[in-house]
Amino acid sequence: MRTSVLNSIPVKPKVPAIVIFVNGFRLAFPVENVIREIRRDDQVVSYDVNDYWGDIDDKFQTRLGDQFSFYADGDAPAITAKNALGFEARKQHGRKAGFSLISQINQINRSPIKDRAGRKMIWGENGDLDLYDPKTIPIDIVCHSMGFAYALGMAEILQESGYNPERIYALAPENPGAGAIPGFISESAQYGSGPDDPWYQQDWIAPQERIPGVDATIYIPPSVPKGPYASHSVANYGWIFNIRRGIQGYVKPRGVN
Amino acid sequence: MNKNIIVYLLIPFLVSLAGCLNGQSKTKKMFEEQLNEIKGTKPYQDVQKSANDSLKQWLAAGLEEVQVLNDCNWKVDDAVFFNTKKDRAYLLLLLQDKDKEAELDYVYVMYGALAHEKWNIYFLSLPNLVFPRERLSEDKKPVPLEELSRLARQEILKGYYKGGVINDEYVEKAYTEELRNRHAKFLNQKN
Repeated sequence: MRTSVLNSIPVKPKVPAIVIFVNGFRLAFPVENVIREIRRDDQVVSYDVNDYWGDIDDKFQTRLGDQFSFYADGDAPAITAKNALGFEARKQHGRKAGFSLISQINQINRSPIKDRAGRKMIWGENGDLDLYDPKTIPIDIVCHSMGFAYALGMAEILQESGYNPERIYALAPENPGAGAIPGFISESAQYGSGPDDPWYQQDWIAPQERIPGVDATIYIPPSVPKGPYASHSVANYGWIFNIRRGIQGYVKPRGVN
Repeated sequence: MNKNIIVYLLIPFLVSLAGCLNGQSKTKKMFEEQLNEIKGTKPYQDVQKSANDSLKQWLAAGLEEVQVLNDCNWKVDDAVFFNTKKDRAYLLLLLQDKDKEAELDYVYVMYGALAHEKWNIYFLSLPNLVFPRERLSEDKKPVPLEELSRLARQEILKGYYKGGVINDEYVEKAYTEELRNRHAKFLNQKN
């Protein structure tokens, strides 16, 4: 699908805000999956180290206009899917990732390196974080699949620590009914297959229902591939950026209503 | 041998698919008959009037979330999905973007609840259906309102009937405290 609406938005200079991308399950062989879980450190990084997002992360960041970005790995063994216990476990891991993010922000913010070029070389665009008080800048979270539970854990820690998580965009969230959008989040949207879609169009990896407390629920439109896997694949969510301004589920650029 | 396996796998798939499609046209016919029967009734006329009046009132009052209607051709669809008691209902708001370059048109699902003989219309919290022009109309023209109506009805009908009768649980489950709270918040927002 073309992205003329995305392109037609006057892209303002980036605004001091952070967007965090939280991925979900990453395909793995059974043993690899176990090793990955043992080695999990819940560290947040500055780039898409797992090459998970395709161009969806770029589209979100361009639309939002957020200057800074981080990536968290919400991957977990499949056994944690479709049950409340697994959801809670992933949320707890997300809380650890929240601490990792705070630690990284402060490390960048308080680094003795003052040379702008040097900072850019080390941290990329995030090197400019020292120009702002990190507790005052808004934080947006974009999550996919299992990353939803993880994102909720991160949002909780950020808020408890005095930071400013503002928005959550959940793409095909896993076990959406097990969590809820916290009251301190001012804007949220959920995108996914319709819960009453016929079986051959349903998301079998993460069956959809409404996230309690979410502002907008938008179903995958008819022209987008739908199916047990297609309805879940993050690559199939580019249509989000064709939603017009003012319509529920529109991803608002910062500073624009 | 392999061909046989494919045929054996395909047969149940095609039978199941045919069953689904047949079920869709059955529920569509059932709903059309039901709609014709209720169109002249007081609950139908009252809820339709409330929906139209509420939208115009919210627009005039400058409520932020409704202002997008100024950029769209809109219509409250004729279809009303009542529960059996006819005190709760889903309604459809058809939205055709006026922008010729737009890629999408929309249908908002709204909710009606009868309280003290008055229908309250709830604008937020229910799904927003999105329809691409590229796929649904010629030369990427706006999707006709009739087509938006047909597709949105199809979406609601996926859960509206169960065992040949209205699935009250499906209609009534949307009437939650969250829906009412969100509506109260919506009424307090100005553009």
